[in-house]
Amino acid sequence: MSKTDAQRRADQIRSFQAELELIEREKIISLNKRQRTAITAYHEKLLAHLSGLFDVDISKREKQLSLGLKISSFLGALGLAASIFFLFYQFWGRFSVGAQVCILIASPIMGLVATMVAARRERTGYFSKLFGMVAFACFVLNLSMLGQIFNITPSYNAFLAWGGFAFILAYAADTRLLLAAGIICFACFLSAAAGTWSGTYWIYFGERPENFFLPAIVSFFLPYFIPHKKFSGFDDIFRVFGMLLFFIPVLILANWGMISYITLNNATVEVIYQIAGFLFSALAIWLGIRKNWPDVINTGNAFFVLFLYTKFYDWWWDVMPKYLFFLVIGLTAVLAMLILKRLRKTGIDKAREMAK
Amino acid sequence: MKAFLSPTRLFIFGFALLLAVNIIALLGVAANRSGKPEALIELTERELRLPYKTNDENSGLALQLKWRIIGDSEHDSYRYGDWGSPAWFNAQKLAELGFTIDECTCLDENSKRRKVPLPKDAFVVLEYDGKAYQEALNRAEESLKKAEIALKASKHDKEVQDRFKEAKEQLESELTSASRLFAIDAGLDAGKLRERYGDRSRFIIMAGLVRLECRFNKIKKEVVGHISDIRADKINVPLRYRKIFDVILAQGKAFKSGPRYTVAVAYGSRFEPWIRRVGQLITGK
Repeated sequence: MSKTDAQRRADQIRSFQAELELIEREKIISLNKRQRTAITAYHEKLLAHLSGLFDVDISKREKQLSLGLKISSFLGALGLAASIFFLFYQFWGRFSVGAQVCILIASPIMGLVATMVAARRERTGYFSKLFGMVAFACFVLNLSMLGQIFNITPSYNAFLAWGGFAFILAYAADTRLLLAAGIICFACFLSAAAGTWSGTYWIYFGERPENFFLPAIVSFFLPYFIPHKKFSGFDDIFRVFGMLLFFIPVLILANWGMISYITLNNATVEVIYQIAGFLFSALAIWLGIRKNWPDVINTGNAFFVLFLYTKFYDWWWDVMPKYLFFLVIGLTAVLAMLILKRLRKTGIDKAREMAK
Repeated sequence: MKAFLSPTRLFIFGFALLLAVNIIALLGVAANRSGKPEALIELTERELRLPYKTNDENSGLALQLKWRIIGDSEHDSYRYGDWGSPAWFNAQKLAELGFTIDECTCLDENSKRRKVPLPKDAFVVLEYDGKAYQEALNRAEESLKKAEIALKASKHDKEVQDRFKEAKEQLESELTSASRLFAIDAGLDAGKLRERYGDRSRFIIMAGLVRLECRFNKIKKEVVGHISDIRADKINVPLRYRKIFDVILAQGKAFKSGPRYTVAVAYGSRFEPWIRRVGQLITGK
């Protein structure tokens, strides 16, 4: 069980207690004292267990405070990371090369130690997440500054090292933000490697967006083969980033065929990617509904709408008066609402039939 | 999976990764600097420039390598870095560097089959104070001679006067401040280039980036090569060499009339440079 699952269970208990209270007030049913005591004792024991293990929020007030802590932890990490960058830049020219190297190597190690100590001492994990992100920033600084000090030719292998470290910290401190950083670094590494294999200098990997398809596939299907049930929201992050890494390049190629590897006529390449965009975003919505993955449904929806509106812009922006163009956009949204409402009604009818 | 990814084990992996990556990077530096340098060259402020302005928030200092090209027209001798195409960088050289040149290469911008060409890795040869610099100097002298003749013919023409002044300044710059480092060749095999350009105190071989470009003029379309980047063209100044540069920077005077320092730069087996020695020159010499 992950912290997210534990929190969901705690929320479910609170909802059950509120609903039971309402039902009893309406005199629909009434539990006897023994039943009530048994349920209350079970819930209290379960909540205490979950709270002890995962430090879940039991009341609404605790939940609000936790949100504040999450935001503060994120802002703190950003601030500390930026501060370390600027602190080093401010003084590094005053140190000998030996001292510079020692500071650069020591800083991510110290960040890692701080993350480890915080993870052991504090169950909520806010401080370990903060230190984890600072350790990652220190490691990025470490390699990039070593490159500057020794005039090293930049290499895409740095992304592999940064990605690996971000993954380690993400799993150790159960941090989704670091997981996202790891996925991005790993995607850059794989895309740069793919770009190099095709004969381009690696820094230009972004000039052929198809280079991102391999990391997109790896990221999307990884949780299917290796589920991360004990880590909070990791599967969702893998899938969403897999989709972003796939759909953003497709969206670019659907409009600029001249940067594709495909040697066909540019217009044909654009049509291929437009069809792929519609097809795969619709497929993602279908898969999301089938597997009950809300993140996949939402991302699929967002890209389907983006592909649709981009096409509308291409077809009609120049030829239609603006009021008519926006009327079409509005009517499309109404049409989408009608379709979704119908789908929802079908779902409710099916559920009722099954209940009968 | 959780057992395998226990926090303790992950932290150990983290330490191991940090140490391994740093060791690999430092071993790479050591490998680059071990043995006989690939090139050892003494440059001056003309070729290695201080930054135009210093940043209060960055105490580090790096010198910028200034390199030039000689184009095929006489007006093309003043170009720095990635501006323009060298005269030697023609379609044949591009093919040698692995570029495919066919009927689709230089299609019109509006053509539906046009693809954006990508740059490629290559080794670039930089020549210091050699034939290319002499050619630039000759062109500047020739240009001044022509401007002088024109000025004699029409003394009161403002445009001719300006052209004469410009040509004079150009020659002055060639003699005192312009970089004498020129990109003279490129190839895929650094070893073969070194065989051809054996003098390690005059020719530097550096990793770079080359691009294919299409030059359109009224008569024809022409495929030309373009050096879009030279890797490691900024050389970090370690603390022990900072004193000379700090004094110059503190004076706040821009580099104009003559180099104020010399820098012995070594290039290692991985074509990565480092400073071996710094010397001060009396201004204007």
